[in-house]
Amino acid sequence: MITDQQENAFKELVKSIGYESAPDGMLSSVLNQLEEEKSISSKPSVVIIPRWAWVIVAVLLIAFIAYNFFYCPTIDLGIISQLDSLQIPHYELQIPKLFLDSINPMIVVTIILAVFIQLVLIKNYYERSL
Amino acid sequence: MQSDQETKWILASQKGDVKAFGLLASKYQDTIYTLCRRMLKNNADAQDLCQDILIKMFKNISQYQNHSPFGAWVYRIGYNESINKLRKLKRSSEHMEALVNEREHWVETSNALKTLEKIEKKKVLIDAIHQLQESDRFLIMAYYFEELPIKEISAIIDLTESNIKIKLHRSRKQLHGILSASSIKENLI
Repeated sequence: MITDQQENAFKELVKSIGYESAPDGMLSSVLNQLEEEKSISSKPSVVIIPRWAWVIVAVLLIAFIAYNFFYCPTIDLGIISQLDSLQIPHYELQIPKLFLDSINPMIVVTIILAVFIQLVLIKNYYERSL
Repeated sequence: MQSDQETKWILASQKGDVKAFGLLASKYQDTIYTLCRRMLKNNADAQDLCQDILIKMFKNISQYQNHSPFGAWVYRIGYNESINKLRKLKRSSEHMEALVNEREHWVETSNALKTLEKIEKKKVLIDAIHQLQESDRFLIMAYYFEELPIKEISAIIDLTESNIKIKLHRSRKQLHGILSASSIKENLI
């Protein structure tokens, strides 16, 4: 059975070890790290695809569907419908003619805008990673 | 309970004020560091652990509620982080080698300083504490060194108060056994 006296002696003994001083600069390095993390988290994040780009995509999609619905009532397979003329393996294919035949202004506008949006996306992506 | 000044620092830290947290942490950094040194034998690991605890304290300070002493809350984080760190280190065989090297170095140092009774006593005692199991080490530090009430310790390590008393009795007995071979024996009996 341990007496109170022994208990107190034991407590005094353990307390006699004393505190150890934390290394110099440890706290300041932790605080610097916290400040750094705080500044990163408070920095507004750059949106990769801005809202206006989504609006353009939506408008284009609706316009494309509408165009096809009102101006192309019959199913036009475009390039695919001309596959018969390929006559493989004779290679009598005229690629420029085939491509230009199937092209329409709506597709041109869509491609230009898609490339533009892609460029914005790439620009924003790199800005965010810097 | 903490002083008004400390309460102000806590409230400011909860709002994300790093400077206020710095003032708060400077008050507790030695307490945390001492706990880390007692829980881990390797100095570099103890320093890493101490930094992790300080960062965790800042990130979780919003969860601190005023109904328990801040020191006990700090000790709770210290305990949880120490146990996690010890688990990670146990998986590393390199750490085990480092421990062996440090222990050998310690014995040499201890012998060299035999004449300096006070220093040797402290080292022997720290060595004896290190020989205890992790949870017992923590109990000795929390109860005898920091003098935390058993109720607070019970909340920290999730054991009933009677279990803690039993464990404390056992660890004390074990520590007596370890110290019985040293010059510290006569101080206890």
